[in-house]
Amino acid sequence: MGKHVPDYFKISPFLTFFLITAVQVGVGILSFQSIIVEPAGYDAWISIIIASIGVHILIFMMYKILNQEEHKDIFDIQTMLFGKWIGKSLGVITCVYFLLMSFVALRLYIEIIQVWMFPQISLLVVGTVFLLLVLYIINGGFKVIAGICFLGVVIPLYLILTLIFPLEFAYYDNLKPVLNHSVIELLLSAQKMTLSYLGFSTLFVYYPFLKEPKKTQKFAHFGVAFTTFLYVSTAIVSFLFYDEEQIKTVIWPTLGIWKIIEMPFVERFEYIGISSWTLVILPNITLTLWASSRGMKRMFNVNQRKTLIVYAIIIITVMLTVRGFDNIDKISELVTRFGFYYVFVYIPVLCIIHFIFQKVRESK
Amino acid sequence: MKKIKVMITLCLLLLSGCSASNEIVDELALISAIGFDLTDDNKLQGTITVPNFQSDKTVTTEVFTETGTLIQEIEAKLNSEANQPLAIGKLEVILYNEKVAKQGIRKMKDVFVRDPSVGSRARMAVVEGNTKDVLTREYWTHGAGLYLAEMFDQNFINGRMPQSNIHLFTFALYSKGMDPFLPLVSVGKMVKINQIALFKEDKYVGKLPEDKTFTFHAMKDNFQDATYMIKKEQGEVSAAVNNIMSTRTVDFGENIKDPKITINIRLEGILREFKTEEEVDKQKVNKIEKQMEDQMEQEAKEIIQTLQELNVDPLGLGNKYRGLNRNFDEKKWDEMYKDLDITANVNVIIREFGIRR
Repeated sequence: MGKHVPDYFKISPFLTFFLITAVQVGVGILSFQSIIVEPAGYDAWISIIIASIGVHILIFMMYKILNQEEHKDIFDIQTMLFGKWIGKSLGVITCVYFLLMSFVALRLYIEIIQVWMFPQISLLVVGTVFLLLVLYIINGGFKVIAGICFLGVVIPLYLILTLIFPLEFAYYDNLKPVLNHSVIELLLSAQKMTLSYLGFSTLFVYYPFLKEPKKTQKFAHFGVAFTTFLYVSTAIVSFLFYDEEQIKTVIWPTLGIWKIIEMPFVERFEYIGISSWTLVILPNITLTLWASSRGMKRMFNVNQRKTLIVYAIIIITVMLTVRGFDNIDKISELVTRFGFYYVFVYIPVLCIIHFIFQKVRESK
Repeated sequence: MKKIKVMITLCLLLLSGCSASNEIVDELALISAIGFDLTDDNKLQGTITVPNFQSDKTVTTEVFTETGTLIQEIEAKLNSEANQPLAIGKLEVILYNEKVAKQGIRKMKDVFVRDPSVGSRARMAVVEGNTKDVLTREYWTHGAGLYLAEMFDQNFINGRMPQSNIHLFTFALYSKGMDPFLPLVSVGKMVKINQIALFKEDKYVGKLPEDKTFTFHAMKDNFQDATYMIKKEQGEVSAAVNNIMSTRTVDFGENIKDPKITINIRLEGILREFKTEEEVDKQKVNKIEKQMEDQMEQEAKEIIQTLQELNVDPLGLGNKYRGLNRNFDEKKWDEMYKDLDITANVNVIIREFGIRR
């Protein structure tokens, strides 16, 4: 521990933007609408913005901690603050959390492929091919991962144009009257929405890999703002397109929107959309899996490649043993709920403890 | 070692294609239209048409009919008759017989909404008479499904018929302030799409006749490119207005608690054909404008009366009202709707009358 990341492994500050957006946007954006409308109805787009403000504050806190501890990541900071045992246990929990996140992303994506495209496709084959690709990318080092995150945001960006087509059937009265729900309902929706913003805590792990890290803060904020823009525009278009009662019956509203698109050369657009989504899911899985294995390396000095192979085997095994969509939903709900507490409780607490620690250190 | 790695990767990548089932377009029977009738013993009878593309570019249509209680049951039975596996991915038209529609079509629509391979643009319609009769007719070189789909589309685009498809029907079905409607197809010497079938929830309850379709559309949507016939008292057509551009706004009056609804319709059109000896001048045009306004307002009055009697709201007035009223209550609106004061205010502007004096 304590070994600094050499300069030639570091990435340019602006790539932080893509690292943040790439890990936040995933399978969630295909289905978040029907979840957030339950408490706040069609005012839920306001909740998306409220949740985003919360995430901005958390990013601010994370930089507050990290900026004072140059060259250190979360695992160093935790051992520094809580001592060896508690620090490492917290580190292991973080690693397991990231591992589960990548598992959920992969499993939910394969579920979409199974429901929408190929009902008979084998979990083993898709999972293995996908994980081989992920391991190959991680093998290239953090620079390559950052590159994949960049491509994972830029290439699928054309999909935002698909939001224009459903406007043919837009029903603008749907959004009126604005603000017809109580503050509590809005906040409940915002809480459900935070789940779609998770993953940015990987910043704790890759912070030492950023060149001039203090300058990256604004890019991180831009990243969250861009994610918010994507979510809000998707939500508003779906709200105009579906009726409020109707959207609650739809599992993947975004894919449903794609069903209305008909072009001369392609009868149904969702097949192109789902295939393109591979590029959105890839950085998701890659970054979280990397963060998890990186943690193992930092704490127990184990070879990162070996950890990854073990991880891949674990993911495949769990995937083959946990069957049934309701069980998968349970796991994903567990992970997102844990993620919520990790982000909204643990990070502020860590920030306060660190602040006190800082004061004590200074006074000495 | 490296070679082995490359080999394994290649194997995985290439062999993964084998795990998906083979569904090749040429080897599937793509259902293009589907129709539901009731048999005498109250069983559901499904009819499907499958276009069969011949090598000389003509299309013959294969028709299969089976009865059952579940749609899936009918499909299974149909599959045992077809020479190729039936696939529903290119479904264009779904037709319901009047009797079927009267019993409610929620379940029968749900099958198609649930299936990811059916597009949201599939057209739905109610048929006066047997759907099997519609689907088994000869339509020149076209298959029945394709012909009907194109017939629907051109009527939607040219504003003769308000647009409807499976998505819009579902939208209206779930909506708190709107009831669904569907085009009503009449079967005579020709198959015509010219009337409106009105729904309460998912049940067919009434219809608007052919000559009300235009005014109904003008009260519901903005559209362009339609033609309207102005009649003299005896019912004989005296003038035709083309290329109509119609916009509508809905006004709820000053007191939102006690709404007085005015549907303002503004029409702009071109006068092309008229049955009169006189020369056309400004005065004459004004007279025609006035005639058209009166006629449409009269029709609108009758339409509103029908809608209120049936207590259906396909115009989506409830949704508009919900947008303005923060304490919208669906039940209250339903009770209120029957006795609401609804009027239509039509404003016709004839922009020109062609290139001759």
